[in-house]
Amino acid sequence: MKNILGYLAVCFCLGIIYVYLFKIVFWPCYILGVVVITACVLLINKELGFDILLLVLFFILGALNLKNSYTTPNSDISRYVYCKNSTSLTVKGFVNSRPVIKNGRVSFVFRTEELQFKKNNYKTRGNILVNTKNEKNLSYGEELILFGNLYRPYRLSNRGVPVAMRIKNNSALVRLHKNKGRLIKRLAFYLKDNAESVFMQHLSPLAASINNAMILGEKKHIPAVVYDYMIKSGTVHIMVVSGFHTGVIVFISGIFLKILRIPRKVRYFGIMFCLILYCLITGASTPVVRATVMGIFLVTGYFFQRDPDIKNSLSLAVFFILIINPKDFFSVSFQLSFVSVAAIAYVYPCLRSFFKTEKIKMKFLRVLFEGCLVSLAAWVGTAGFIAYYFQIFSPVTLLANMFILPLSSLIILSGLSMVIVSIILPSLSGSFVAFNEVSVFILLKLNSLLIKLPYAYHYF
Amino acid sequence: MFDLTNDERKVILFLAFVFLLGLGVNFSSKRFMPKKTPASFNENLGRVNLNTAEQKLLMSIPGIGEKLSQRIIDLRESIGGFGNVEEIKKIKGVTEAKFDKIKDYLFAQ
Repeated sequence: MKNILGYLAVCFCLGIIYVYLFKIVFWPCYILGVVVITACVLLINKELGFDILLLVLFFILGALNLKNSYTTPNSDISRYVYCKNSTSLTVKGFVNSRPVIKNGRVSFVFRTEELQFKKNNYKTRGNILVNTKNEKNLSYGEELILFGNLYRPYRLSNRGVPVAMRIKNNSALVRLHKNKGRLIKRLAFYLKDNAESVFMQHLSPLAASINNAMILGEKKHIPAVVYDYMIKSGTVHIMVVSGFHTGVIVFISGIFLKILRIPRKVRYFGIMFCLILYCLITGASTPVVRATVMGIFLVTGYFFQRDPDIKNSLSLAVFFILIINPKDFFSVSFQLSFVSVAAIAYVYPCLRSFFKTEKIKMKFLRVLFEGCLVSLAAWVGTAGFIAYYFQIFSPVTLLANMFILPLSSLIILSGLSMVIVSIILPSLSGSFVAFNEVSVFILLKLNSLLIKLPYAYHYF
Repeated sequence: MFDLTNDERKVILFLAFVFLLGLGVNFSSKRFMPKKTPASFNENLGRVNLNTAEQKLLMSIPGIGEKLSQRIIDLRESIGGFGNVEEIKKIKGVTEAKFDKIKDYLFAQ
């Protein structure tokens, strides 16, 4: 039986769902896990017995993993937040994200290390979301001492940090002028800032906002109308950095390294580095982590001259993401990202054999038809989830994807090329700018036309 | 069912064992770690560094106005940075009483 990892991943997910629905106690479940693993060792030569026990073991591992993630450490900063009284604390740590300036306020995620509470100093851990008006030139990794009030935000922010701190005044933020950030993350943020400024300098505000979303994963500047059109036509996924982008990065970095005449095996490491860097630049959201993990495993497959298998890569990506944070299983982006790729991996081959695409003689038509089948497979996989979460059913998606996907690939390619060229040869960037602007214009026009078709979409 | 070789089984079991062990250690460390572990906190906590502070930050300290903050910055630039807080006594307008009032808000590093 092929794709064993797929079966193990499914059992792991079932364990996570079980803990989500039912209450378990950690230690009895852990002992059960130890018993099952011992039984596996004893039955290692038995065919069926071992396989069934292995599936049970992965179910237990999934359950334990979620249960463990529900437990916060005793020293976690969230333990110092009290329901009734807003607590004044002094905390030391470092800026753990790229500070965002909005409406004259700066917000950033702060990794706490030590805190002073009632004149005593304690070690602590965990992130807090900090809002301040005063300091606007902070950067990732900067070590700070903050004095302010901890509270739980009424609505969880999109950064997923459950505790926030309100800084009182100017002197409540002391800069220690040390950088504790990781070098690769600092490099990623530096490149992101440069790419953003290239878009802002060369493109119109609308095209810059679309490029920022499609290439850098920054969706905050996209006009609401454009976003609404994309939801209706079912093409909003192009605004999310995903596997497609990863493919483009592999392609561009591969060609670039080839031009530099770097040996083949070293080139694969270069591609992997570029993938990790791009993952960090785009904020390491679930779809991009999924795509990066899959991309790395595929490139590793080429490195060892093994046949890459999309199903095994997908299963490994499931394990990678859920081992780090099992709560991701319940996020919409995780579900949509994995269901669409799983549908392409499992449904598309069935559709291909059903329609017998190999009988189409003309290569161009065959490729076009197969592209439509990939789109159909992804749509079949995600339609139910989209209807459930967004209360919308849009048959026009199938048609829209046929035109909008190639266009978006042109935008991504020209946008990335524009960033690279404007750094190396700024005088050449003009043609990329014009091409990118036209592509964005066609994309938006086409989108607005498609949603005007009869029965294009239906809200429940 | 899975047609795994003996070596593949050993590898999977080893990885599962490591993960199970890791989960146990992680859970125990979260659960049984004392809530309040003393830390060596920075003794300059909440104070303003005389060698790096901008004028605005210096002015946020009670007792330091626009003129005095400017004098502190001028002296800092002329001597190339303060070695200790006491050195601000050289500045015109920083009397002993004034120094006692502001010294707790300052440090030099």
